[in-house]
Amino acid sequence: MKVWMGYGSEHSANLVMIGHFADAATAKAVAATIERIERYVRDEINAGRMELGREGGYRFTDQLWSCPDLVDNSVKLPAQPIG
Amino acid sequence: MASDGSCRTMLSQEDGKIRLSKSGAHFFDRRSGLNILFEEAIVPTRLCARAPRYVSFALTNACDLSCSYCYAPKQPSRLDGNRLVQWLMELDAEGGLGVGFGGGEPTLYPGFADICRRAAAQTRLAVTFTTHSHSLTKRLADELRGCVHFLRISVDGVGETYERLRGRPFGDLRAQLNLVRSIALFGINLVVNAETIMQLDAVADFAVDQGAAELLLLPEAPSQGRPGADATIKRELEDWVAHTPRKIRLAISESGVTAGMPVAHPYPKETPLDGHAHVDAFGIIKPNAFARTGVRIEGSIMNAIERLRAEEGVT
Repeated sequence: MKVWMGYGSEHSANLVMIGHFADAATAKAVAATIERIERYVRDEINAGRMELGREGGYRFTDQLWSCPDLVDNSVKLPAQPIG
Repeated sequence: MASDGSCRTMLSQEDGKIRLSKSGAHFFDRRSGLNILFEEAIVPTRLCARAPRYVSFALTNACDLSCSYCYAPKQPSRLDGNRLVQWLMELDAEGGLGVGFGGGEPTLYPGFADICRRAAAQTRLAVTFTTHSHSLTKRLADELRGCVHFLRISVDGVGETYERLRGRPFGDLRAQLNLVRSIALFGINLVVNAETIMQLDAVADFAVDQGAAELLLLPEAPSQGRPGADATIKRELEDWVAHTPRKIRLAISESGVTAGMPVAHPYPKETPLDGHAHVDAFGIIKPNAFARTGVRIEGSIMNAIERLRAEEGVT
């Protein structure tokens, strides 16, 4: 799983991000957040509420939106790019 | 930005979209620019998006500046607005995530705000554009607010360097950035060549000072008889990237990446036309803006993309 901020390759050519974590602690904190979100996604798939590619299934489920890391419809991310 | 140094990004179901591809399941929120790629997901080929993630459009070849390193064709031409909106709806339906308007100077395109409004309202694509900003007026800014998700401002230098390269007072740019900030998040573009390589620190500081979200480095590509950034320039840029304390998010054109740069490639499984395609002001779709040949879009843009894939030998 990868998380980053940006608008991709909308200029005249494909774009890529430059950067790395400021320190190991930041990297570990982000990794832990990602793992929690991943667990929620796996639980949703195992419960039959999400199915990859299901018609009409291109939205997060209500349960996923209740994930603590997405609580109040928000997600907390480092200000710097993650690479 | 929150007091703890993090970005707190509001997400909404209306602005979020999931794209399935060979890279995995990609959630994208066009309002914030948040990307979450679940690359652990193995997506069957039949479910993969057919549209490129992003398509850039040269709305018009018209521009009121004459920068020596501009790659855009100079023959007058512009895209038809109604055809363009139909193409955007196709790309949206086929899994595209964003559109970037350029030129020429896109703000000189008649009905530019209406195109952005229709793109934002009739699709879930992120709407972005690249501009020199000097043609923005308060009225246009008011019309664009809420219809555009990100702007890229072409700067390429500060002070006298900017004025020499772009032929406009640097003070005018500062004033125009007040309008830019009122529209949406924005980034600063820097074409990197022999004339601008010494401006890297100054432009980065300027971008931070002006509240830009990103500095996009564009090593000059060979075009219009110019050789582009040479090996020395690229080496100096690589050194700057490696050793300058990071003050702002950095991005770079993929073609300008050198081996020593700490870049993140989010989509290692992507073939070129999965990620990006470019439509010039003549209505010809190409792998990128610098490509010499492409495919004319006769009706469906997706049909033209498939023909281009066949001609380029990618599946």
